[in-house]
Amino acid sequence: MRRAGFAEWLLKRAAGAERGRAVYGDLIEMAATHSRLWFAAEYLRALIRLGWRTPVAFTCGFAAFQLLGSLMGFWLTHMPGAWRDHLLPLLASVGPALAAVTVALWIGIPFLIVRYGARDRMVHLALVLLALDTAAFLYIPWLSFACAIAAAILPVASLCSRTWRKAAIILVPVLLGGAATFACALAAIALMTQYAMQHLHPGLLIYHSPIPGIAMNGAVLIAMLAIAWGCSLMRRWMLPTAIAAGVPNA
Amino acid sequence: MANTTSLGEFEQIVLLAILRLDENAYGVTILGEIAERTGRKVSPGALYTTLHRMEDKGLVTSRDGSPTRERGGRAKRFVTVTREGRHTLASAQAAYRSLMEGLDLLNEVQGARFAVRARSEMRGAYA
Repeated sequence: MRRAGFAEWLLKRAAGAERGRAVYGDLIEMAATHSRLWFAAEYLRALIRLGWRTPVAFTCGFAAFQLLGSLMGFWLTHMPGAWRDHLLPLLASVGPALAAVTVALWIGIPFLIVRYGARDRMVHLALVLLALDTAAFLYIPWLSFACAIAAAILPVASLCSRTWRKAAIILVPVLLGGAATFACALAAIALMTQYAMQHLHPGLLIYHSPIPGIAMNGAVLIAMLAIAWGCSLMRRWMLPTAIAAGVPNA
Repeated sequence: MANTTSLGEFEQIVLLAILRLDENAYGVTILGEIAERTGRKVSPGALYTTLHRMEDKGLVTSRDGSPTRERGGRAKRFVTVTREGRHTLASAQAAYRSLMEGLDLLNEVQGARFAVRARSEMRGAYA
Protein backbone atom coordinates (compact mmCIF):
# COMPACT_ATOMS: atom_id res chain seq x y z
CA MET A 1 0.00 0.00 0.00
CA ARG A 2 2.82 2.33 0.97
CA ARG A 3 4.66 1.35 -2.24
CA ALA A 4 1.55 2.15 -4.31
CA GLY A 5 1.29 5.51 -2.54
CA PHE A 6 4.89 6.35 -3.39
CA ALA A 7 4.44 5.24 -7.02
CA GLU A 8 1.39 7.47 -7.40
CA TRP A 9 3.18 10.37 -5.67
CA LEU A 10 6.07 10.03 -8.12
CA LEU A 11 3.70 10.02 -11.10
CA LYS A 12 1.97 13.12 -9.75
CA ARG A 13 5.33 14.90 -9.53
CA ALA A 14 6.06 13.97 -13.15
CA ALA A 15 2.67 14.73 -14.71
CA GLY A 16 0.96 17.09 -12.27
CA ALA A 17 -1.41 16.12 -9.44
CA GLU A 18 -4.67 15.66 -11.39
CA ARG A 19 -3.11 14.08 -14.46
CA GLY A 20 -0.88 11.80 -12.38
CA ARG A 21 -3.85 10.52 -10.34
CA ALA A 22 -5.86 9.81 -13.50
CA VAL A 23 -2.93 8.04 -15.21
CA TYR A 24 -2.36 5.86 -12.14
CA GLY A 25 -6.08 5.09 -11.99
CA ASP A 26 -6.08 4.07 -15.67
CA LEU A 27 -3.07 1.79 -15.11
CA ILE A 28 -4.79 0.16 -12.12
CA GLU A 29 -7.97 -0.35 -14.16
CA MET A 30 -5.99 -1.95 -17.01
CA ALA A 31 -3.91 -4.06 -14.60
CA ALA A 32 -7.04 -6.14 -13.84
CA THR A 33 -6.61 -7.83 -17.25
CA HIS A 34 -2.79 -7.86 -17.32
CA SER A 35 0.09 -9.28 -15.27
CA ARG A 36 1.98 -7.48 -12.50
CA LEU A 37 5.02 -7.31 -14.76
CA TRP A 38 2.95 -5.49 -17.40
CA PHE A 39 1.79 -2.99 -14.77
CA ALA A 40 5.34 -2.37 -13.54
CA ALA A 41 6.69 -1.97 -17.10
CA GLU A 42 3.90 0.35 -18.23
CA TYR A 43 4.14 2.39 -15.03
CA LEU A 44 7.87 2.92 -15.60
CA ARG A 45 7.34 3.80 -19.28
CA ALA A 46 4.62 6.30 -18.38
CA LEU A 47 6.77 7.80 -15.62
CA ILE A 48 9.75 8.28 -17.93
CA ARG A 49 7.70 9.60 -20.87
CA LEU A 50 5.81 12.06 -18.68
CA GLY A 51 8.68 13.10 -16.46
CA TRP A 52 11.84 13.35 -18.55
CA ARG A 53 11.28 16.83 -19.88
CA THR A 54 11.47 18.83 -16.65
CA PRO A 55 14.87 17.59 -15.36
CA VAL A 56 16.34 17.75 -18.88
CA ALA A 57 14.91 21.26 -19.34
CA PHE A 58 16.50 22.43 -16.06
CA THR A 59 19.84 20.85 -16.97
CA CYS A 60 19.79 22.50 -20.43
CA GLY A 61 18.92 25.85 -18.87
CA PHE A 62 21.89 25.59 -16.49
CA ALA A 63 24.23 24.48 -19.28
CA ALA A 64 23.11 27.38 -21.52
CA PHE A 65 23.66 29.84 -18.68
CA GLN A 66 27.17 28.53 -18.00
CA LEU A 67 28.15 28.48 -21.69
CA LEU A 68 26.67 31.84 -22.74
CA GLY A 69 27.69 33.46 -19.45
CA SER A 70 31.32 32.47 -19.86
CA LEU A 71 31.33 33.55 -23.55
CA MET A 72 29.79 36.88 -22.59
CA GLY A 73 32.24 37.33 -19.73
CA PHE A 74 35.12 36.70 -22.13
CA TRP A 75 33.70 39.21 -24.62
CA LEU A 76 33.11 41.92 -22.01
CA THR A 77 36.68 41.66 -20.71
CA HIS A 78 38.24 41.58 -24.19
CA MET A 79 36.07 44.11 -26.05
CA PRO A 80 37.76 47.30 -27.36
CA GLY A 81 38.09 49.86 -24.58
CA ALA A 82 36.72 52.65 -26.77
CA TRP A 83 33.43 50.77 -27.23
CA ARG A 84 33.14 50.27 -23.47
CA ASP A 85 33.79 53.94 -22.77
CA HIS A 86 31.30 54.94 -25.45
CA LEU A 87 28.59 52.77 -23.94
CA LEU A 88 29.39 53.37 -20.28
CA PRO A 89 26.27 55.51 -19.71
CA LEU A 90 24.11 52.77 -21.25
CA LEU A 91 25.83 50.13 -19.11
CA ALA A 92 25.25 52.18 -15.98
CA SER A 93 21.60 52.97 -16.71
CA VAL A 94 19.99 49.91 -18.32
CA GLY A 95 22.86 47.46 -17.85
CA PRO A 96 21.51 45.56 -14.81
CA ALA A 97 17.98 45.31 -16.24
CA LEU A 98 19.33 44.21 -19.63
CA ALA A 99 21.55 41.63 -17.93
CA ALA A 100 18.62 40.25 -15.91
CA VAL A 101 16.38 39.96 -19.02
CA THR A 102 19.21 38.39 -21.03
CA VAL A 103 19.89 35.83 -18.30
CA ALA A 104 16.15 35.06 -18.13
CA LEU A 105 16.22 34.42 -21.89
CA TRP A 106 19.38 32.31 -21.71
CA ILE A 107 17.97 30.03 -19.06
CA GLY A 108 14.39 30.23 -20.30
CA ILE A 109 14.83 29.28 -23.96
CA PRO A 110 16.45 25.85 -23.54
CA PHE A 111 13.77 25.20 -20.93
CA LEU A 112 10.96 26.30 -23.30
CA ILE A 113 12.35 24.26 -26.21
CA VAL A 114 12.61 21.06 -24.17
CA ARG A 115 9.32 21.60 -22.38
CA TYR A 116 7.11 22.81 -25.25
CA GLY A 117 9.01 21.77 -28.40
CA ALA A 118 10.82 23.74 -31.10
CA ARG A 119 7.62 24.14 -33.17
CA ASP A 120 5.88 26.19 -30.48
CA ARG A 121 5.16 29.78 -31.51
CA MET A 122 6.17 31.09 -28.07
CA VAL A 123 9.59 29.44 -28.54
CA HIS A 124 9.99 31.14 -31.95
CA LEU A 125 9.21 34.53 -30.44
CA ALA A 126 11.59 33.86 -27.54
CA LEU A 127 14.40 32.89 -29.97
CA VAL A 128 14.09 36.18 -31.87
CA LEU A 129 14.07 38.08 -28.57
CA LEU A 130 17.14 36.12 -27.44
CA ALA A 131 19.06 37.06 -30.61
CA LEU A 132 18.13 40.75 -30.30
CA ASP A 133 18.73 40.91 -26.56
CA THR A 134 22.07 39.12 -26.68
CA ALA A 135 23.18 41.40 -29.54
CA ALA A 136 22.18 44.42 -27.42
CA PHE A 137 24.11 42.95 -24.49
CA LEU A 138 27.29 42.79 -26.60
CA TYR A 139 27.58 46.60 -26.25
CA ILE A 140 28.69 47.16 -29.84
CA PRO A 141 27.96 50.81 -30.75
CA TRP A 142 24.87 51.29 -32.94
CA LEU A 143 24.19 47.56 -33.22
CA SER A 144 23.39 47.39 -29.51
CA PHE A 145 21.11 50.44 -29.72
CA ALA A 146 19.32 49.11 -32.80
CA CYS A 147 18.87 45.65 -31.29
CA ALA A 148 17.69 47.06 -27.93
CA ILE A 149 15.07 49.17 -29.70
CA ALA A 150 13.99 46.20 -31.87
CA ALA A 151 13.79 44.00 -28.74
CA ALA A 152 11.55 46.58 -27.08
CA ILE A 153 9.33 46.96 -30.17
CA LEU A 154 8.97 43.23 -30.89
CA PRO A 155 6.71 42.32 -27.89
CA VAL A 156 4.49 45.34 -28.60
CA ALA A 157 4.24 44.39 -32.29
CA SER A 158 3.48 40.78 -31.31
CA LEU A 159 0.67 41.93 -29.03
CA CYS A 160 -0.85 43.78 -31.99
CA SER A 161 -0.67 40.71 -34.25
CA ARG A 162 -3.46 38.12 -34.07
CA THR A 163 -1.04 35.31 -34.86
CA TRP A 164 1.55 36.19 -32.23
CA ARG A 165 -0.61 37.80 -29.51
CA LYS A 166 -1.16 34.65 -27.45
CA ALA A 167 2.55 33.79 -27.47
CA ALA A 168 3.47 37.35 -26.45
CA ILE A 169 0.85 37.48 -23.66
CA ILE A 170 2.46 34.38 -22.12
CA LEU A 171 6.11 35.10 -22.89
CA VAL A 172 6.48 38.75 -21.90
CA PRO A 173 5.21 38.52 -18.28
CA VAL A 174 7.01 35.19 -17.80
CA LEU A 175 10.33 36.65 -18.99
CA LEU A 176 9.95 39.86 -17.01
CA GLY A 177 8.94 37.84 -13.94
CA GLY A 178 11.94 35.53 -14.48
CA ALA A 179 14.28 38.53 -14.81
CA ALA A 180 12.86 40.20 -11.68
CA THR A 181 13.10 36.92 -9.75
CA PHE A 182 16.70 36.46 -10.87
CA ALA A 183 17.66 40.00 -9.83
CA CYS A 184 15.89 39.75 -6.45
CA ALA A 185 17.26 36.26 -5.73
CA LEU A 186 20.78 37.34 -6.65
CA ALA A 187 20.56 40.44 -4.44
CA ALA A 188 19.11 38.45 -1.53
CA ILE A 189 21.67 35.64 -1.83
CA ALA A 190 24.50 38.17 -2.19
CA LEU A 191 23.37 40.00 0.96
CA MET A 192 23.11 36.74 2.87
CA THR A 193 26.52 35.67 1.56
CA GLN A 194 28.07 38.98 2.60
CA TYR A 195 26.54 38.67 6.06
CA ALA A 196 27.77 35.09 6.40
CA MET A 197 31.26 36.01 5.20
CA GLN A 198 31.52 38.86 7.68
CA HIS A 199 30.47 36.70 10.60
CA LEU A 200 31.86 33.27 9.70
CA HIS A 201 35.08 34.05 7.78
CA PRO A 202 35.94 37.71 8.50
CA GLY A 203 39.45 37.43 7.04
CA LEU A 204 38.51 35.74 3.76
CA LEU A 205 37.90 37.85 0.66
CA ILE A 206 34.54 37.11 -0.94
CA TYR A 207 36.19 36.62 -4.36
CA HIS A 208 38.28 33.72 -3.02
CA SER A 209 35.23 31.92 -1.79
CA PRO A 210 33.02 29.53 -3.79
CA ILE A 211 29.96 31.23 -2.31
CA PRO A 212 29.44 33.86 -5.08
CA GLY A 213 29.32 31.07 -7.68
CA ILE A 214 26.85 29.17 -5.53
CA ALA A 215 24.83 32.38 -5.12
CA MET A 216 24.71 32.91 -8.89
CA ASN A 217 23.65 29.30 -9.53
CA GLY A 218 21.09 29.57 -6.72
CA ALA A 219 19.61 32.68 -8.32
CA VAL A 220 19.51 30.92 -11.71
CA LEU A 221 17.73 27.93 -10.17
CA ILE A 222 15.15 30.16 -8.46
CA ALA A 223 14.60 32.13 -11.70
CA MET A 224 14.16 28.89 -13.66
CA LEU A 225 11.59 27.66 -11.15
CA ALA A 226 9.75 30.98 -11.52
CA ILE A 227 9.85 30.73 -15.34
CA ALA A 228 8.64 27.11 -15.29
CA TRP A 229 5.83 27.87 -12.86
CA GLY A 230 4.82 31.10 -14.60
CA CYS A 231 4.84 29.49 -18.03
CA SER A 232 2.72 26.55 -16.97
CA LEU A 233 0.28 28.86 -15.15
CA MET A 234 -0.03 31.33 -18.02
CA ARG A 235 -0.46 28.61 -20.65
CA ARG A 236 -3.19 26.94 -18.61
CA TRP A 237 -4.87 30.32 -18.14
CA MET A 238 -4.72 31.02 -21.88
CA LEU A 239 -6.23 27.67 -22.91
CA PRO A 240 -9.62 27.78 -24.62
CA THR A 241 -12.20 26.63 -22.07
CA ALA A 242 -14.76 25.03 -24.34
CA ILE A 243 -16.28 22.89 -21.61
CA ALA A 244 -16.50 25.74 -19.14
CA ALA A 245 -18.23 27.76 -21.83
CA GLY A 246 -20.74 24.93 -22.27
CA VAL A 247 -19.69 23.88 -25.77
CA PRO A 248 -18.17 20.40 -25.41
CA ASN A 249 -17.34 18.79 -28.77
CA ALA A 250 -18.71 21.87 -30.48
CA MET B 1 -7.29 33.07 -40.11
CA ALA B 2 -5.55 29.93 -41.33
CA ASN B 3 -5.01 27.30 -38.67
CA THR B 4 -1.26 26.71 -38.46
CA THR B 5 -1.21 24.06 -35.68
CA SER B 6 0.20 20.94 -37.32
CA LEU B 7 -0.93 17.50 -36.25
CA GLY B 8 1.11 14.31 -36.33
CA GLU B 9 -0.41 11.01 -37.45
CA PHE B 10 -0.78 9.69 -33.90
CA GLU B 11 -2.37 12.92 -32.72
CA GLN B 12 -4.98 12.58 -35.46
CA ILE B 13 -5.67 8.97 -34.47
CA VAL B 14 -6.14 9.98 -30.83
CA LEU B 15 -8.44 12.89 -31.74
CA LEU B 16 -10.55 10.64 -33.97
CA ALA B 17 -10.79 8.01 -31.22
CA ILE B 18 -11.92 10.66 -28.72
CA LEU B 19 -14.55 11.91 -31.15
CA ARG B 20 -15.81 8.37 -31.76
CA LEU B 21 -16.08 7.69 -28.02
CA ASP B 22 -17.87 10.99 -27.43
CA GLU B 23 -18.77 11.25 -23.71
CA ASN B 24 -16.88 8.12 -22.65
CA ALA B 25 -13.36 9.06 -23.78
CA TYR B 26 -10.70 8.47 -21.11
CA GLY B 27 -7.31 6.73 -21.13
CA VAL B 28 -8.51 3.11 -21.05
CA THR B 29 -11.33 3.49 -23.60
CA ILE B 30 -9.16 5.54 -25.98
CA LEU B 31 -6.47 2.83 -25.94
CA GLY B 32 -9.18 0.20 -26.57
CA GLU B 33 -10.72 2.16 -29.44
CA ILE B 34 -7.34 2.67 -31.13
CA ALA B 35 -6.47 -1.03 -30.75
CA GLU B 36 -9.86 -2.10 -32.11
CA ARG B 37 -9.96 0.26 -35.09
CA THR B 38 -6.32 0.35 -36.17
CA GLY B 39 -4.89 -2.88 -34.76
CA ARG B 40 -2.16 -0.85 -33.02
CA LYS B 41 -1.15 -1.67 -29.48
CA VAL B 42 -0.31 1.72 -28.03
CA SER B 43 1.51 2.01 -24.71
CA PRO B 44 -0.37 4.06 -22.09
CA GLY B 45 2.68 6.32 -21.64
CA ALA B 46 2.64 7.31 -25.33
CA LEU B 47 -1.07 8.09 -25.17
CA TYR B 48 -0.79 10.24 -22.04
CA THR B 49 2.14 12.22 -23.45
CA THR B 50 0.12 12.97 -26.59
CA LEU B 51 -3.04 13.77 -24.63
CA HIS B 52 -1.20 16.16 -22.30
CA ARG B 53 0.55 17.86 -25.21
CA MET B 54 -2.75 18.32 -27.04
CA GLU B 55 -4.33 19.65 -23.85
CA ASP B 56 -1.48 22.17 -23.53
CA LYS B 57 -2.09 23.21 -27.15
CA GLY B 58 -5.80 23.64 -26.43
CA LEU B 59 -6.88 20.88 -28.83
CA VAL B 60 -8.54 18.81 -26.11
CA THR B 61 -9.87 19.60 -22.70
CA SER B 62 -10.46 17.30 -19.74
CA ARG B 63 -12.73 16.98 -16.74
CA ASP B 64 -12.73 14.59 -13.79
CA GLY B 65 -15.49 12.00 -13.45
CA SER B 66 -16.54 10.39 -10.20
CA PRO B 67 -14.15 8.00 -8.39
CA THR B 68 -14.67 4.27 -9.03
CA ARG B 69 -13.73 1.15 -7.04
CA GLU B 70 -11.90 -0.67 -9.85
CA ARG B 71 -9.52 2.31 -10.06
CA GLY B 72 -8.76 2.28 -6.34
CA GLY B 73 -11.06 5.23 -5.71
CA ARG B 74 -9.48 7.42 -8.40
CA ALA B 75 -11.57 9.45 -10.80
CA LYS B 76 -11.57 8.92 -14.56
CA ARG B 77 -10.31 11.91 -16.52
CA PHE B 78 -12.67 12.33 -19.47
CA VAL B 79 -11.31 14.05 -22.54
CA THR B 80 -13.23 16.18 -25.04
CA VAL B 81 -12.07 17.66 -28.33
CA THR B 82 -12.31 21.45 -28.33
CA ARG B 83 -13.57 23.54 -31.24
CA GLU B 84 -9.95 24.35 -32.13
CA GLY B 85 -9.11 20.63 -32.02
CA ARG B 86 -11.97 19.75 -34.37
CA HIS B 87 -10.98 22.52 -36.76
CA THR B 88 -7.30 21.47 -36.75
CA LEU B 89 -8.23 17.81 -37.29
CA ALA B 90 -10.60 18.69 -40.13
CA SER B 91 -7.87 20.78 -41.80
CA ALA B 92 -5.36 17.93 -41.51
CA GLN B 93 -7.85 15.40 -42.89
CA ALA B 94 -8.80 17.73 -45.74
CA ALA B 95 -5.13 18.04 -46.65
CA TYR B 96 -4.78 14.23 -46.69
CA ARG B 97 -7.92 13.89 -48.81
CA SER B 98 -6.68 16.49 -51.26
CA LEU B 99 -3.37 14.65 -51.64
CA MET B 100 -5.15 11.29 -52.02
CA GLU B 101 -7.41 12.53 -54.82
CA GLY B 102 -6.93 10.58 -58.04
CA LEU B 103 -4.53 8.06 -56.49
CA ASP B 104 -7.15 5.33 -55.89
CA LEU B 105 -5.08 4.02 -52.97
CA LEU B 106 -8.07 3.21 -50.76
CA ASN B 107 -9.60 0.96 -53.45
CA GLU B 108 -6.24 -0.80 -53.87
CA VAL B 109 -6.07 -1.47 -50.11
CA GLN B 110 -9.68 -2.64 -50.02
CA GLY B 111 -9.06 -4.85 -53.07
CA ALA B 112 -6.00 -6.39 -51.46
CA ARG B 113 -7.93 -7.02 -48.24
CA PHE B 114 -10.77 -8.61 -50.23
CA ALA B 115 -8.32 -10.87 -52.08
CA VAL B 116 -6.67 -12.01 -48.85
CA ARG B 117 -10.07 -12.70 -47.27
CA ALA B 118 -11.29 -14.59 -50.36
CA ARG B 119 -8.11 -16.68 -50.46
CA SER B 120 -8.40 -17.63 -46.79
CA GLU B 121 -12.11 -18.48 -47.24
CA MET B 122 -11.31 -20.73 -50.22
CA ARG B 123 -8.58 -22.44 -48.22
CA GLY B 124 -11.08 -23.00 -45.43
CA ALA B 125 -13.62 -24.45 -47.85
CA TYR B 126 -11.15 -26.97 -49.32
CA ALA B 127 -9.70 -27.98 -45.96
